[in-house]
Amino acid sequence: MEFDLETRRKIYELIKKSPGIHFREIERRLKIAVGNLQYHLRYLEKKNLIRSDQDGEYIRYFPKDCQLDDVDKKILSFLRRRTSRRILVYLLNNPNANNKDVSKAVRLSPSTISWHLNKLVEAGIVEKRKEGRESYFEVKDPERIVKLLITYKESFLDRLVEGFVEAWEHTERK
Amino acid sequence: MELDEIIRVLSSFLALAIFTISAIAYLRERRRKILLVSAAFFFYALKGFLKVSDIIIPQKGDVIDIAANLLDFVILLLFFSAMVVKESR
Repeated sequence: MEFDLETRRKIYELIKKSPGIHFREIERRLKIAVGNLQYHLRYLEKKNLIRSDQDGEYIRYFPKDCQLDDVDKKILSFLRRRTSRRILVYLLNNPNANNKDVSKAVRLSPSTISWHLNKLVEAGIVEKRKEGRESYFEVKDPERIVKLLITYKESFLDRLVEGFVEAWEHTERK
Repeated sequence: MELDEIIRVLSSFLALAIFTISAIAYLRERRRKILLVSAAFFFYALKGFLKVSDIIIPQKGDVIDIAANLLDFVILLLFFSAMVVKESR
């Protein structure tokens, strides 16, 4: 899943950067096997992220304008935070993980993970299921998150803000 | 403008930039620690500009110095509070 996501992001960004790019050019530039590329392009078309036009012997690809609704905007505000983003990617790959699993994978203290997970649950992005004393977490709408992860691009300001927040998270853990 | 004044102006602008970043970080994260640090950077920038204002509009007496010293205390207090405050997690 993580590998697929990264490949789809690369394909989407290339199409966004070069609207009208044809299949062979994407294949050449990203060095992706034909079958694999066809599979990812079909996925992106199905998710309404790109469209294709037949131009003679070429199939050209164009980005589609993404209309973001309020829920998308709320999810994006979480995707801008590196820790939340890493938690979401982990939960997409490992549904029904508990705090300890996430903490180990993301390499942050359980209390930090718990804080982020609670925020995600409060926002309705992640679902919490209690089993005895243990809580398990799962992404509510994985398809929507994957789509946003493909289109999301970290800006310079996002990096600066994230760096600042991380510096404080590190001091808290010490 | 003297070299030390140029450095003071540059420091103030840098503090203003860090304040902007930390304020955005607070709006995104809503953590008290970040708010306190953000306020400290704001007062640091304010102190710098206050000191530079002395060159443009010379003040009578030690008003600027007293205000700057007070701001120094407030800045350190804010950093200390940010270190000891517990986030409600």
